Amino acid sequence: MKQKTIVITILLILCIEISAQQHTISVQPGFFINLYKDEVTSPLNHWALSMGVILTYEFESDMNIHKVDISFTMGESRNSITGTKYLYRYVDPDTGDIIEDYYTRTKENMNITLNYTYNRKIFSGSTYSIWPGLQFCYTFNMQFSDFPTFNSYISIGPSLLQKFCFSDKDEIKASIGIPLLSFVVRPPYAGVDDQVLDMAFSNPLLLYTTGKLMTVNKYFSVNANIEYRRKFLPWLEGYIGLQTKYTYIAEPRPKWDYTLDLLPGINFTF
Amino acid sequence: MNTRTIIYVFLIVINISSCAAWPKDPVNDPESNFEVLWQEFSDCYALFDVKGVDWDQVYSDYRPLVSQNSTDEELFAVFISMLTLLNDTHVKISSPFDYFKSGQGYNTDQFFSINVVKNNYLTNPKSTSGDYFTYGYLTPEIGYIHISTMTSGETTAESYEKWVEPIDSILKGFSNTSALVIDVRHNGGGLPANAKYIAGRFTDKERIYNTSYTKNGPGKNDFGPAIVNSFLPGGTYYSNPVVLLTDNNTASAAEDFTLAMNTIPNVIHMGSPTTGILSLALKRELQNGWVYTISVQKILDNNGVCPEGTGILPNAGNIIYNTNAEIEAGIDNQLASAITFLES
Repeated sequence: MKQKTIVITILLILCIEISAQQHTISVQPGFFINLYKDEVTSPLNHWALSMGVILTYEFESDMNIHKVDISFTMGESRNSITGTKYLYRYVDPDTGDIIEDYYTRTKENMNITLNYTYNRKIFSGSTYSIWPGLQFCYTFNMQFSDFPTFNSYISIGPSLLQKFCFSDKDEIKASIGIPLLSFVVRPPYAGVDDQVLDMAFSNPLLLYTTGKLMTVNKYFSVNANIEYRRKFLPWLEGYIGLQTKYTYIAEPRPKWDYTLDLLPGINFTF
Repeated sequence: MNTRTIIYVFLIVINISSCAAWPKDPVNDPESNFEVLWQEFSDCYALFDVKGVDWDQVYSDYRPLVSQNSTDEELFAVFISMLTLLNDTHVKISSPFDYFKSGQGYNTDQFFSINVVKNNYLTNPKSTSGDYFTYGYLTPEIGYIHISTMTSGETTAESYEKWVEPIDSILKGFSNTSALVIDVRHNGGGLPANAKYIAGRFTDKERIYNTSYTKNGPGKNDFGPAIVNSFLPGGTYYSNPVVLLTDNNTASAAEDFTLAMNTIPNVIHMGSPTTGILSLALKRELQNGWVYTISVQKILDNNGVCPEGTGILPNAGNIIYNTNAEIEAGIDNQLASAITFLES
C-alpha cells in the first residue's frame, strides 16, 4: 500500500512537471580561448584561439532541469617560440653531400566535451531560484605536435545553478560545477611508450585502460557558466553566454588547462 | 540577490580559477635554458647506465661554463659538449643557427650504393613508387629486396604506412626462388609498425623480438613495466633461407626490423653492425626557441642485451665491410658474400 502511494505520488509529480515542461535546443557557434601548460610535452605555456560550436539540449520543468551539451573545437596551438625556423642537416645517401635545410613546427589542439547536468529547484523567490544538482563531464583532448598526446577525463561532482528572471522576456542563469571524482587518462610520463602506440593504432579505446581514478587533490577542476537569454518569440530566444573552466592535473606530470568560451547563439524552445 | 550580485559572484569564480597557481614560462636566459635542458635529460633520458654517463657530474662540469652573459653560440657549444658524452644519435638539438646530433650520426665510412647493386648485381631491377623497395634477381635462384627506409612520413589511420603493402606482390614474384637477400643497409629507420609488417612476411608464428622499458618518473631507475614487442605472420609467407644485410647506417626502426628478422630460424644476418639507436626519440623545446630530442626508452633484445651504442652484430663470422675503393669499382663485397653463402 505504501509503495503504491509512493508510485502514484511520483506519477502525479511527473504529470505536473510534464504539463509545464519546456525543451530547448541551442546552437552556439562561439569563440574559444584555451590556455594550457602540459609538462609532459613542454615547459611552455600554450594558447589556442579557435572557433567552435556547442550544441545544447535542455529539458526544464517546474522542479527539474536536465541539460546535455556537446562541444567541438580545434585550432592551432601557439607558444612563445611558435614560428621559429630550425636548421637541420642530413647526408644525401646517394651523393654523400651534407645538405642543410630549415623547418618550422606546428601544433594543433582538439577538444571535445560532453556534459550532462541535472539540477533540482530547492528555493524559489519571485524572481530568483536556486537549483543544486549533479554534473557529469566528459572531455577528450588531443594535442598534435611532434607526437600526438591523448588526454581524457570523465568526472562527476556537484553543481549549483541560479536563475534570475527580471522580466517575462529576460533571464540570467549562472552555474558552477566542481568535479569530486574523476577518471583520468593521460599520456605516460615521457609522452609516449610502446603500449600507448600499440593501443592508439590497434584500438584507441584501449587507452582508457591506462586511466586512473583521481580525487580533487590530483584532479582539480571548476567550471562556471553565465548566460543571458531574451525571448523574442514563444519559440525563439536570443542567447549570449560566457563559459569558463580551470583544470589542474597532477600526474604523471602537471597539466594546467583554462578555457574561456564566448557564446552568442539562439535557442529554439518547444 | 540581484543580477549584479550574480555577475560579481561569477567574476570572482573566474578570477579565482584563472589565477590559481598558474605557472609562468621558465625565464629565458642562458642559465635557465641550461637548467631546463639538464633537468629534462635527468628526468627522461633512459640510457645513462648503458652509456656510462654520470649526469650529475655532467652538471658539475658544465654548469660553471654558462653565465647570464653567455651568447647563444656559447650556450650551444656547451650543449654540444655535454650531449656528445651520450654518444646517442637519437639525441639532437636544433636552433635557427646550428644543428647537432650526438653520436656518430650518418657514417660516411660505410660504403654502399644501390646503383652498384642495380647496375652490377641485379637482373631486371625494379623499384616501387618512391623507391621504398628496390628488387630483382641476383641469380635465377636468389631474389633481392632493398628497403630504403621504414617511413614515408605519411599520416595513416592504419598502424603501418601504405608503401609497405607491395611487399606481398614482390614476394609472390619471388615464389620461384630458393633464397632471398633482404638488404636494409643505409635504412635510417622510421616506424616500427612498418618494420613489423614486413618482418611478418617471413614468419609462420608470432615472435617476440624485443622488450622495451620507458621512463615513467624522474628517478634514474624509474621505468614503466616491461613491454614485450612481437610481430605476427601476415600476407605472403616466404619460408626459404634469407640473408639479412645491415651496415652501420641501419638505424632505429630498421634495427627493430633486424631484431625481428634475427628471431626467425632461416634468417642469417650478414654485413656490418647496425648503428645502435633503438629508443623512441621524443622532441622537447626550450624557452629560447631551440628544440632537442631525448631517448626515453631502454630496449633489450631477446638475450637481455641493450644494443644502444654497440648496434646489432651480424652472426659470428659474417661481419663484412665494404671499402670505398670496392664500391667505386662497382664491387659490393657484402652482397657478394651473401650470394656466396646462399649458393653454398
